[in-house]
Amino acid sequence: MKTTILASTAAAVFLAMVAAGPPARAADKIKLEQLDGTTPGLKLGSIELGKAYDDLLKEMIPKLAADEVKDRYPIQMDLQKLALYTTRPGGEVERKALSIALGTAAGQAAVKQPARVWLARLLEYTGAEESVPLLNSLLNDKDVELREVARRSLEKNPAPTAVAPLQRALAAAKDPKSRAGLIQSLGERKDAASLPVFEKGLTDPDFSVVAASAGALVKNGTMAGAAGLARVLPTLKGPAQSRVFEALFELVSSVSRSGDAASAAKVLLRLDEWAVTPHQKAAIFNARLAADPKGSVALIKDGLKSPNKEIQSVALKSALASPDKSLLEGLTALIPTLPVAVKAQVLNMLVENKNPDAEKQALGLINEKDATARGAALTALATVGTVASLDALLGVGSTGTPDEKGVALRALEAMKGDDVNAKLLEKATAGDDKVRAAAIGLLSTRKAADLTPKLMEWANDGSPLVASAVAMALGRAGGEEEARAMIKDLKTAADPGKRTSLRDTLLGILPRLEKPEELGVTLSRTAANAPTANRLILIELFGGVGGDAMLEAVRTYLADDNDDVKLAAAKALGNWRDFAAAPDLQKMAADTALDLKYHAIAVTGLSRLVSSSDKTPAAERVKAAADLLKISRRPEEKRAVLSALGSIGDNAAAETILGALSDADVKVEAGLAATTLAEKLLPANAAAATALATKIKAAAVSDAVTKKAEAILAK
Amino acid sequence: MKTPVVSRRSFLKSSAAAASSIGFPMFIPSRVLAGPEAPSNKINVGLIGNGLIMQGHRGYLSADEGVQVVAVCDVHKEKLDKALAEVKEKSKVKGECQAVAEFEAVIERADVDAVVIGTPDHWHAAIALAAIRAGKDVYVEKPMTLTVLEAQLVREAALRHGRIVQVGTQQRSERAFRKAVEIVRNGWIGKVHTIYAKLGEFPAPGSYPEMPVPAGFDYDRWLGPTPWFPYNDARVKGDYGGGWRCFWEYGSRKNGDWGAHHFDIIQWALDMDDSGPVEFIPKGFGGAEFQTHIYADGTKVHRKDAGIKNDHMIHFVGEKGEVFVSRGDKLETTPEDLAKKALGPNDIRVYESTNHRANWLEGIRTRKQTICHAGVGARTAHICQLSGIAERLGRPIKWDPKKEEIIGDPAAARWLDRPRRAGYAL
Repeated sequence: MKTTILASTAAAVFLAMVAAGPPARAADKIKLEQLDGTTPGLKLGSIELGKAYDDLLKEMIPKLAADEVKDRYPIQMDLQKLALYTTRPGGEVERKALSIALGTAAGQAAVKQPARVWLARLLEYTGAEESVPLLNSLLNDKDVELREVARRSLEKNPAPTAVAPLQRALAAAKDPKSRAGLIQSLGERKDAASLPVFEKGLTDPDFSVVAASAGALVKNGTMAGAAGLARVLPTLKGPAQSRVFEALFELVSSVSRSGDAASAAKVLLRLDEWAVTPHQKAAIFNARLAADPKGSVALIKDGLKSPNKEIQSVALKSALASPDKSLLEGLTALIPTLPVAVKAQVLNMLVENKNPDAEKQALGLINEKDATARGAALTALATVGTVASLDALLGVGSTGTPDEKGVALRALEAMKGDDVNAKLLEKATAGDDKVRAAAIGLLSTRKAADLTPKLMEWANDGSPLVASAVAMALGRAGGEEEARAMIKDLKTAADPGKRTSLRDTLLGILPRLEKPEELGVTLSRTAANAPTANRLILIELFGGVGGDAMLEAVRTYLADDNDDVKLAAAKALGNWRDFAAAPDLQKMAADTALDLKYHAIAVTGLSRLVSSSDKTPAAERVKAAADLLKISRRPEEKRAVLSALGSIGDNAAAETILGALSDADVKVEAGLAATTLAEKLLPANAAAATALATKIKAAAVSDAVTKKAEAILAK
Repeated sequence: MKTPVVSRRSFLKSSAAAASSIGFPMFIPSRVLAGPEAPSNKINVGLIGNGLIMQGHRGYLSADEGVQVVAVCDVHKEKLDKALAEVKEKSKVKGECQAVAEFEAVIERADVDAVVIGTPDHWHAAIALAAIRAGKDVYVEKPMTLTVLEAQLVREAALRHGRIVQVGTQQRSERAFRKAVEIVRNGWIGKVHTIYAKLGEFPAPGSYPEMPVPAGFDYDRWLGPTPWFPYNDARVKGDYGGGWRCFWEYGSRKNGDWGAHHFDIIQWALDMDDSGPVEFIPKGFGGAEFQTHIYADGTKVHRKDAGIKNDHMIHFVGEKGEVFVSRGDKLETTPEDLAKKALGPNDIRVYESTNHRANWLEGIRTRKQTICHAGVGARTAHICQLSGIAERLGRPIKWDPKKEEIIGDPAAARWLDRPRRAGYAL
C-alpha cells in the first residue's frame, strides 16, 4: 500500500511536470553523470532521488520517442546505464526510486509508445515489489508490445506479489499465444499454485501451450510436477507426446541429480513403458544404465538383444567400457542371437580381452555375407588364429577380395605354431591350384625349412598358377645352386612364358647372392652360346650379378649393332644390383640421340638405385637424383625421381624436392615425396621435419598433401 | 639386401590399415546397427541456418562421400534456394535434398542422423535442444548458447540422450593452438599468471528506422524467442564485421564471437574444462584498462583488442616464458625453442583433432566424445555470457564455477537467462 501511494504521488508530480513543459535547468541541477556511477559520491535520500530521476526522465522521454529512430539510441543507452547502475549491491534506495520513476512514466498514456516500451523494458532489470502495480496495469494495456514487456518484467521480478498479475492474466487470456507466454512466465517463477493449470495445458489443442506447460512443469523441479506430467503422458500422441515425454524425462533426471534417485528410478521405468519412438526407448535405456551401475550388466545383456538398434549401440558401447568379465562371458553366449554387425563388435571385444572363444567365434563369421563381419573375423584371426583357422584363412587368401586376401595371407604369414608349415606343405602339394599357389607363396615368405628341393620339384608343374608361385618362391628362397640350374634351363627354354618366368625368378635370386661372380662367368658364357631370343633374356640378367666384368660386358653389348641386343643391355643396366651402374645410367638418360625408351629405362633404373642403395652415401644419391631430375624429359620420369628422393630420409634431399613444388606437372608428386621425407626425418630431426612440413603446407599443392603435412606438424 | 621379417606386431599394424581399406570400422556405429537398409556408414545430415558460416560446412559435408545432406533449412528463401542448388551441384552422395523454412521439419525426419546449426546465436539452444531430444547428433556454431542457463540445458540434454555434440570452436582442432596448450599444460613457461586475448570490437548496435521486410523472409520466425523490434536490414544482416552480431538480443558481441574461440583455448590450456573463472570485471570499472576474468588461482585473462606482438590472437605469460598463438599455424614462444620442442613420453598430451568437422563425423560413427562436446561448449559459453553480463551491468560479478551461480548480486543473476517471446519456451 505504501508503495502504491508513493507511486501515485510520483505520478501526480510527473503529470504536473509534463503539463508544465520542460523546466529551466537550474544551476545546481543533478546531472546524469552523478547518478549513473560516472562521478559517484552524491548522497541523496529517496525523495530527493525520486525528484532527480523524474527530472532526468522528463528530459529523456522526448528523445526516447524521437521521430528519427536513430536518435533514440544514445538516450536509450544512457538510461539503461543508469538503470543497471542502480541494481548494484548496495544501491537498493536508488534502484527502488528509479523503478518508481520508470514505472510512473511508462504508465502514462501521454508518453509516446516507443518511450513507454523502453521505460518498461528496463523494469525487467530493476523492478521489484514497487513495480508490480504498474506492470499489472501494463499487462492489460491495449498495446501488445507493452503487454509483452510487462510479462517479461513480471517474469523476472523477484517479488512474490508479481505472480498474481500473471495468474489473473492467464485466467483471462483467450488466445493461445498469450496463454503460452503467461505459462512460460509462471513456469519460470516456479509457481506451485499454477501446477493444475500447467497440467491442464498439456492437453491444449495448441502445441505452443503444450510446450510452455511442459516446460513450466519441468521448471517446477519437484515430483509434484512429475506427477502432473505422468498423469497426462499416456493419453498423448504425436508432438505433444514427444514434448511431454521429454519434459518428464528431463524433470526426473533433475530430481535424480538432486538426490531422490529412488523416486526418479521408478518414473524412469514408467517412462520406458510410455516410450513410443526408438530414440525415446534408447534414451531411457541410457538413463537407466547411468542411474543403476550395479544392475548394468543385466541391462547391457538385455540391450544387446534388443531389436532397437539404438539401444544395441548404447549397450555395446557400455559393454566395451565395462570391466565386468561376467558380462564378457554372457556376451559370448549371446553371439548367435545378435545381428551380424553386433557380432562383429562383440568379436572385437572378445579378442581384446583374450577370450578363449574368440577364434571359434571368428571362424563362425568368416564366411558371412556381410563384409563388416568378414573383416572383423579376419582381423580377429590375425590376432588369435591358430592352425585350426588355417584352412579358412587359406580359402580367403586364395579366393577372397584383394583386400581380404591381403589380410588373410598376412595373418597366415604371422601365424605361430610348428604345425603350421607342415599343414601348408600338405596344402601346397595337392588340391585346388589357387590354394596350392597361395600355400607355396606362404611357405616361402615364412622361410619354411628345406623348401627349395620341393620348389624345384613343383617348378615343372603343369598349372601356370602353381608354376608362377614356384617361380616367385624360388626368387625369394632359391640360392646359387637353383640359379645355376635355371640359367641352364634358360639357355634352351623355347616357351616365351617360361623364359620370362625364369628371368623373373633369377632377378629375385641374383641380387641376394653374396658372391655371384662365378655365376656371372657361367651366365656370360651361356649368353654367348644361346639362341638369340634366349641370349637377350640372359643379357638382361647381367645386372643381377653386377661387378666390373659384367659392367664392361654390358657396355660392349650397348654398342652392338643389333637393336635387340642393345636394348637387352640397357635393361641389364636398369636392373643393376648396386650403385656402380649410376654413371652409365646417368649417361644413357642424358643421351638425347637415344630412343625415349632408353631414357625411361635409365631414369627408372637409377631412381630405383637412388632409393635402395643404402650403403651409398646419401649425398651421392641426392646429387645423382638432382642431376637426373634436370635431364628427365617427361613428368612421369620426374615423378619417379622425386619419389626416390623422398625415400632417402636425408635432409639434403629436401631442397631438390622443394624446388619441384613450383613445377605444375609434378607439384603434387613433389609434395608427396616431401611429406614422405618429412615423415622419415621426424624421429631423428623433428626440427627439420617441421620446417619441411611447414613449407609443404604453405605451398598448398593439393588438399591431400596439405593434410599429410598438417598430420606431420601435429606429431 | 635385407629380407623383411614380418612380426606379429607389424602384422597387426598393417592389418589394421588393411581393415580400414576393406571398409570395416574398429567400432561399429549405431548407423550400421540400423539394419540391412543402412549397410553403410553414410550419415544423413540436415543443415539449419544457411547464412555465412554454413557455407564452409555445406561445402565440406557435400564433398564427403560418407555424408548425405538430406535437408537444408532457412527462413530466408533466397538463402534456402542457394543452399539447395549448391548441395545438388556439389554433393558427392547423390540423393534427395529437402528445402524447408522451419527447422522442425528437418528434426522430425527419422532418417536424419545429425544436424548442423548455423543460425544466429539466439536460435542455437532451441534448435540444439529439439535435435538432441529427437535423437540427432549436433554440430552447433559457437557460442553454444546465448545464455548461461541455455548452456546448462544443452549440456544436460546431450548427456541424457547420449548425443554427440560438437561446438564450432574449431581452434581446438588446429595444431598451433594444441601445441600452445601443451606448452602451458606441461609447465614449460612456468606458472601462467596473465593471458591476453585479442577480440576486437563491433560497432554499437544502434537504433534503426523500420524498413519493409523483404519478400521471402520470415522475419518473425527469425526473431524467434527475442523481443520484437522493427525490421531493418542492419539488424538481421549476416556480417562478420557487424550485422546481427552487434546486437545483444541475438549475440553477445565480441565476447561471443572471437571470445568464444579464444576463451575456449584458454580454458583448455588452464585445464578448466570442468570449471571456469571466479570473477568477471568489465573494462573501465575502477579505471580497469581491460575487460578481465580471473581464475581461482589468480590467473588473469585480459581482453586486449590490439597490440599483441606480431598481431597474435592469444598471449600466455608465465613465470618462465611466453606463448603467442594464432590461426594460420602461427606459434611463437619465449624461449624460442619451446615452439619446436617435442613432447616427451611423460608429458601431458591433450586430445588431438586435426579436423573439427571430421572429428564430429568420427564421433557420430564411433560414439567417441568430440573435442568440443557440450560440456566444453557450456563452460566456454558461460565465460562469453558472464563477460557480457559484467560489461552490460558495468560492474564486476563473482561466479561460483562449481555451483554455476552468480555470488552476492541477485540483480546480476537475473541475467543468467532471458525471458522468451510467447510460444518459444525451451
